[in-house]
Amino acid sequence: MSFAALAAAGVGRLSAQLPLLEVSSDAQDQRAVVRLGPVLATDELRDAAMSGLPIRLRVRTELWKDEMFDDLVQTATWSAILVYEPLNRRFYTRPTETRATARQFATWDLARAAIEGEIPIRLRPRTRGRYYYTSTLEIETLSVSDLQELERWLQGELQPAVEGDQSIPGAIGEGAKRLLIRVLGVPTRRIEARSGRFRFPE
Amino acid sequence: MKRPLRHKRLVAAACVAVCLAASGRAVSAQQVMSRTLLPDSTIERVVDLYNREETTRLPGDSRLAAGTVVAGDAMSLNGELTVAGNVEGDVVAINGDVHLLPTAVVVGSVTAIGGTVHIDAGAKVGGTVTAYRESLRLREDDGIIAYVPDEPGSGISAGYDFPFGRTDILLTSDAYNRTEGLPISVGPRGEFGSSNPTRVRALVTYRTANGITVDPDELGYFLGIEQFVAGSGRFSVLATAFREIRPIEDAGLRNREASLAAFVLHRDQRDHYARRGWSAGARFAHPGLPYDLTLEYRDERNLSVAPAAPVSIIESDKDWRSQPLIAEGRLRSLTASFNYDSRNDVLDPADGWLVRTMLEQGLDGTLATSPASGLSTGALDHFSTARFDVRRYARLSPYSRLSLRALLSGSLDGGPLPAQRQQALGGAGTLPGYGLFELDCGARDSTVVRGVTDFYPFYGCDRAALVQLEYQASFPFARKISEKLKLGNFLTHSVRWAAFFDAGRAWTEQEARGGRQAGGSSFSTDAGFGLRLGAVGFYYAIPLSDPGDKHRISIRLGPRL
Repeated sequence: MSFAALAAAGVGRLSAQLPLLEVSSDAQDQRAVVRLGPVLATDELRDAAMSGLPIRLRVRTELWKDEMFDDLVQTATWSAILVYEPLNRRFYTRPTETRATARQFATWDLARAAIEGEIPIRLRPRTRGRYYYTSTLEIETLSVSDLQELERWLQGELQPAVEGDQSIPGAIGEGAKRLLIRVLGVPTRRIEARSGRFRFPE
Repeated sequence: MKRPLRHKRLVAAACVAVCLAASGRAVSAQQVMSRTLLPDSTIERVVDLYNREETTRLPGDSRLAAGTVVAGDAMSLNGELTVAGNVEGDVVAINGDVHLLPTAVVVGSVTAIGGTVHIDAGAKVGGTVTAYRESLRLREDDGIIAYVPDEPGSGISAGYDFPFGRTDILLTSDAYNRTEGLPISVGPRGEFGSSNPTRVRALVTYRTANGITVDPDELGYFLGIEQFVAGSGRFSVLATAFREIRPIEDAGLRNREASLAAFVLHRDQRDHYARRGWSAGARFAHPGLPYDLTLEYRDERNLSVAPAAPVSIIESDKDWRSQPLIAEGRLRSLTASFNYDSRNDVLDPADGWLVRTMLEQGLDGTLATSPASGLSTGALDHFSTARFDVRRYARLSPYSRLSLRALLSGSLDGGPLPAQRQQALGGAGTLPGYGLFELDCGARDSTVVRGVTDFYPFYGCDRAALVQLEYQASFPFARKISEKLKLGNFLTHSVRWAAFFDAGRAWTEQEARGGRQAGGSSFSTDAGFGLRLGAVGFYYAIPLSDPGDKHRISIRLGPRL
């Protein structure tokens, strides 16, 4: 990534008014509570999506036990895909958790609202001790394999995306698309958050 | 509240199972969707499914006997899952095969990751059947699994899944450097077969420093084939043929950092040599665990390579730094390498180990120091060398982390090493308080002329030891300032300060010098502070062993260690 892009990303974060990512422990059972702030509230991400580049948001949350050298107890990952379908001018979102269903929206703001907010993370301590959570959000455009997976999903779960029926130019086109993504530095962001320490059981 | 819903779900699943059995719908082998690459979304789904409390987990090779009813999903980890009973949810094998016997009834889908699906006649499946050839790399702790991603590759690829395998067109690049410019490699990559797949890669390398004309003699190539054996996905034999330019050491920098330093600042941080030849070997890698062991026999010819004239943004009209003369000729050698990587995050690790070790024994050949170097080390084809690079990452609190690296590298018997196996320390990646390759046994004190080109007479010392320690923490007042100025997460989580200490020594034993200097008799140390703004780090280093030396500033992309 170029220095200019890094600087731009930094300025983007500075201008944010609300935490883009928050993680805390639930007061009742100390499970992880992860909340996405206005992470998609930038023109560059909306423009990237409108240009046909699907956006992936991935949140990796870790449960750490507070010791002299802290112990990584467990990791949970949640991610969602947001894509714009120009033919019917609708945005599609789908969390990649087990058996999640796809949803479609008429506007970028509605799709944003469906993704931002509290996200389901299945993480909580099981043994006595002092703990805390860390969480990392990565926002990126999708890889070619993700694009294929996405196409398969858009065509119906049972239909394979690629079974040798695509043309060679099609494959090269996908490669070229990914090259452009990498070379032109379409937004890729990484945001971190952590909770305060807490005891389990309370 | 949940019990009636759960009860209803079970009843519904049982009805589906009965209907399936009654309908006699059987899935044939032709309906198995076979794919090579494992999409991230599938990885996340199966990891989530495995970690659910209600999932029936079956470690290793497992069997669900006829008459058994699993009221939900059944998953196996690192072993074959044989099903003869009824599963009222999905069946998933992570890093193993799925075998459905004739009495098996699966209401949901069947998925094998890093394996295949065998379906006997009469077995019934309600959902899809998918087999991914790619294994899932994970860490398991107390019955909970987490995905361990690989280092992100620099290349791009696009291709197809065919019934017999997958083919891709791959476009990739190594670091920008003063001998090649940008080496761009392109070619096909394929994976064929199922239980014992064959992987093939054939790349041609074009070097931008050679200009827009394409001379076949100036192109590099890499041909590689890996054939898995024994059906477990753990053992493979491999063979390669190559003509390429390689860095002698990575100098503790990532390719991206080395590329930017060369292309933008006209400062190539590495030295290079050319090699051409072939290799054959064997590899053991457990598909579900983060380690691999490789044994390899190599037969190659090594050559020194002069700097070319690639462009740079700054000081493009200046000459590039000289290259070292290496020991040239034919080399037959045997290498063994072991890698272990349990980092929780490859981009910015806070936990885990990264271990890279390598042993190499020269067997025979004609490898000898170039007469132009003026050295008297003679024939160098029976050297023995090793490299142990161990990194440990540990989190100390929510706000701080510690990184430690220990490197031991060099001649095992104290004998002289060919220049392309020597060590040099100093520079942003190893000892940032010292200049680039400042600890090199005098290799860059003078140049020699071969033909019309200046070269350094050799690369560095025969032995090196390096310890690097770094402590990173958030600013204690960052949270309050962030809240006051409404800056969100930026100050608290993207800005860190760092304190570091490094100690290194590079030396050559007396009987092996042959005209080279002895190197350091004690460790050279430096210490300093840094500021990380997201991925970019600015570091100020003070050489402690030579207090009169100037202090140095370096910029890194990503963590130092």
